[in-house]
Amino acid sequence: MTLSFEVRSASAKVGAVEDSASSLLPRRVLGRASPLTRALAHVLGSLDGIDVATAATTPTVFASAFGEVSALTALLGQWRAGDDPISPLRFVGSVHNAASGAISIATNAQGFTTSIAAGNETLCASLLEAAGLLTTGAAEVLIALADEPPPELLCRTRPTCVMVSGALWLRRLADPGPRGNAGANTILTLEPNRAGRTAPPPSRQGLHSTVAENPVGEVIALVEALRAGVPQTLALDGGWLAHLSARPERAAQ
Amino acid sequence: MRALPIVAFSMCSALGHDVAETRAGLAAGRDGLSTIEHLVGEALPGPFVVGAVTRELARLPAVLVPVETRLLRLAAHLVEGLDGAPERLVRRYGATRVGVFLGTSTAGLAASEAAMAAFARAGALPMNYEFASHHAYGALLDGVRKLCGCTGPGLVVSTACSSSAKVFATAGRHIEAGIVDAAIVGGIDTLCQLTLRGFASLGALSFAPCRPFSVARDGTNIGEGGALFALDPGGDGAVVVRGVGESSDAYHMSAPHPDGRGAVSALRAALRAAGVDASEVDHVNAHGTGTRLNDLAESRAIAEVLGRDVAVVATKGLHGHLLGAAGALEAAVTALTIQDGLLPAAPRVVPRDPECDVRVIESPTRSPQRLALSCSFAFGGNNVALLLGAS
Repeated sequence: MTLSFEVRSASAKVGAVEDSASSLLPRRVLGRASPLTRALAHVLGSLDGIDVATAATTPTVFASAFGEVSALTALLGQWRAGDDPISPLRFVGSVHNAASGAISIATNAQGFTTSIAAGNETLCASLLEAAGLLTTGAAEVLIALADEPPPELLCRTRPTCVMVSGALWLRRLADPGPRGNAGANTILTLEPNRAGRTAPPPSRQGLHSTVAENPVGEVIALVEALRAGVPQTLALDGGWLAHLSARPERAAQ
Repeated sequence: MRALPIVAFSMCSALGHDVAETRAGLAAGRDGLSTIEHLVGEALPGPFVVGAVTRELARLPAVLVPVETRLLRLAAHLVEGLDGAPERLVRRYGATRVGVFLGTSTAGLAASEAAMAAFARAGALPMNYEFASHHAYGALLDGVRKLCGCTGPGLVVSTACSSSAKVFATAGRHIEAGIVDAAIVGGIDTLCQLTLRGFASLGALSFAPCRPFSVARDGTNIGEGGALFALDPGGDGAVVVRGVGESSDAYHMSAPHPDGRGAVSALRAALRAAGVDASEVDHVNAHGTGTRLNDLAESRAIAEVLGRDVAVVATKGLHGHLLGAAGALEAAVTALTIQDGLLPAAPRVVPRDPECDVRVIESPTRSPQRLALSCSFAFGGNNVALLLGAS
């Protein structure tokens, strides 16, 4: 079976987001936001053509394998230091859907939002969740993924991966609509990667190790492939292939 | 939405170690709450009333021992409680065609807390602890896949208290899109130092057994456990998933919209998805946390959508608030209520809060149940209403 949809636009960032002119969060909220929330708001806000009104009315899938690592680290530190009570704001900010909540409040998004995780398969899982939404009524879906390095205090050796974030604006294939930026208007087709087929190289191959080791590092490979505008196939963690091809009208030009 | 049969389900909480014990506990109105002063071997800042699973859990299969956590042992107990349903789904559809969709808020946090406590004592993390395989959300997904023998698509939803209600919608969409043919869904959470302390810091905890919808309510009690379901569109079950409604408050990170606007939206969406009228709903299994704000806002939402006379069941006073697993556990309670035609009582609800002007069930009541809504409202303003029906 295959699932196809159009990629209207895509964005990605390697490294932390300290400040962002394109964030969906207003400045007063941005300053208080966690690194993960800042990154997710930044990549969403960086999608070509996005605005607050669109973000407010488009189902959004937030995804992170590890969740709010910085907030968790701070809370664990407070606990071990004997702080009582721990910070209520920090506690609420440590839930996996903190970014989803903050962005929905900032944009007045009252519809569907979710916050998911699937280890190294997080990108694949978010694409399939989006495919489910597009197949069952949504005309468009936003995906935003990000992961910080795992918490150093819970790792035996210092983590070597860097923060990675990415966002995709997907549209149901049957719907016409305005074209997005370079690398957009690409058809993304998901197909199970059947055993025995000659598979393309895994999507993390070719990425710098500090990116490849990030659970959502694959999104960098996907966004770079989208920007290249060349038909290609990526083998995603999770056992699915992502075929990228041009929109038929574009191919005919 | 096409009705999705629940061909098997399992449950475990302070109220009962399995479906049979839970059924008996609901009928007796007996709560399973207890008081603890230590957790993961460390002292808590005072006694906490919680819904703890106190019975011993079975050992994990050898392949999962290296990644053992309490969360995974609860998961294994729940998979066993499905009585072979995952294997039957795999035989029928193939392992790659059965999805696994789970909700949790704590994930392996308790394991990390224990690891940090060990580090403080010994200067090193335990040899058998790894963040990715013990704490991270995906570890639960990996473990349940192995326990069920399913290799199809899967994910963990972590939207706080709505997590394991949302997974029903995720599964339904995956099935309708043809991504999978059947699914294992549910939720599991464990007691943790940070969640108890965090809820206490918010002023959301009661230090006595909680009293949802009572005028004397002063907070909730945290619980642990969960429930799992096998969903098979080609199977038979006494209870089916008729619809799911999902919405966001867009109001506040930890308080509901006072008029329950997000809850209203989710309730209406669930009814719309099923193509049923509000008048057809026999009861609502409320989120009913026992906090002043939730119960008031929820009452307003229920009254607006379903009227003031619909029966309202509130069971967190019997098993605690299972956070990420609350949606699944209370869906299982709702399924039992439909199957047995017995509305469980909300404990300690008298004296009622007149501002929560809905008909909360105060004593176990026999009444045939065809359709019921189960509500879950979460931090971040994430709302889910799950409509279950007799098949």
